[in-house]
Amino acid sequence: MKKIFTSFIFSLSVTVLLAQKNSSKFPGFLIATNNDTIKAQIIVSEHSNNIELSNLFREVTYIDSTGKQITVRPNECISSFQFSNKIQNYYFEKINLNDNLKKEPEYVFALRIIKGYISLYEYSANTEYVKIKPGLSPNVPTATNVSQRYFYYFLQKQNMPPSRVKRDFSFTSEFR
Amino acid sequence: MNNDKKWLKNYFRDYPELTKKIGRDIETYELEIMVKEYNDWKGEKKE
Repeated sequence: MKKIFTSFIFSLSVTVLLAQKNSSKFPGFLIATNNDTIKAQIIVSEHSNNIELSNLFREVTYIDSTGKQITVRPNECISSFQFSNKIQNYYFEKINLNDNLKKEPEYVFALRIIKGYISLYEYSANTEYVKIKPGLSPNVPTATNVSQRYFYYFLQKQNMPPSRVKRDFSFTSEFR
Repeated sequence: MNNDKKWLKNYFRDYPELTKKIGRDIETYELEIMVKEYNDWKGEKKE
């Protein structure tokens, strides 16, 4: 019995360790709003050895050529940034979420999915928590709070501002 | 928000063959396919 318990605790610890969030530095650069290029190491979270992009939509942390660690948000002096791991190149661009030009702009960094005559961008965020009543779904036997993740898609023609074309949502994480 | 068929048809208006394929509800993967198809068509047109 003791053996079983020990191996259970061991496997649980391994699972927890593997699921822990780490961060890695990837070579890349940032473009400032005055068009200056900043060569940098971009710090990116990793979760269970997978790259985690969700933090980069709201802010980016990088190490500049002097070794200084800096965090910038989309409403600051950076218009885009990109980095590359060994598999893929990731490009983020500052985009205004607010369609109404009369309202205060809400800048975020959006990930470019397709580059071309028309480019496609994605931005996602956990913006709201909702309570699902029990019995509405056979998968929800008790009242459950879930976070609702929104996905925004933008199309951008060359030399034109991006237009928000679609908003989706999905229930991603569950907590009680 | 501009998630309606009419808006997309207008956005891709210079490629009528593509606008005919736009359905009422547009899934994300369909949006990706449309953008790729548009870019391919535009590239071929320029060559």
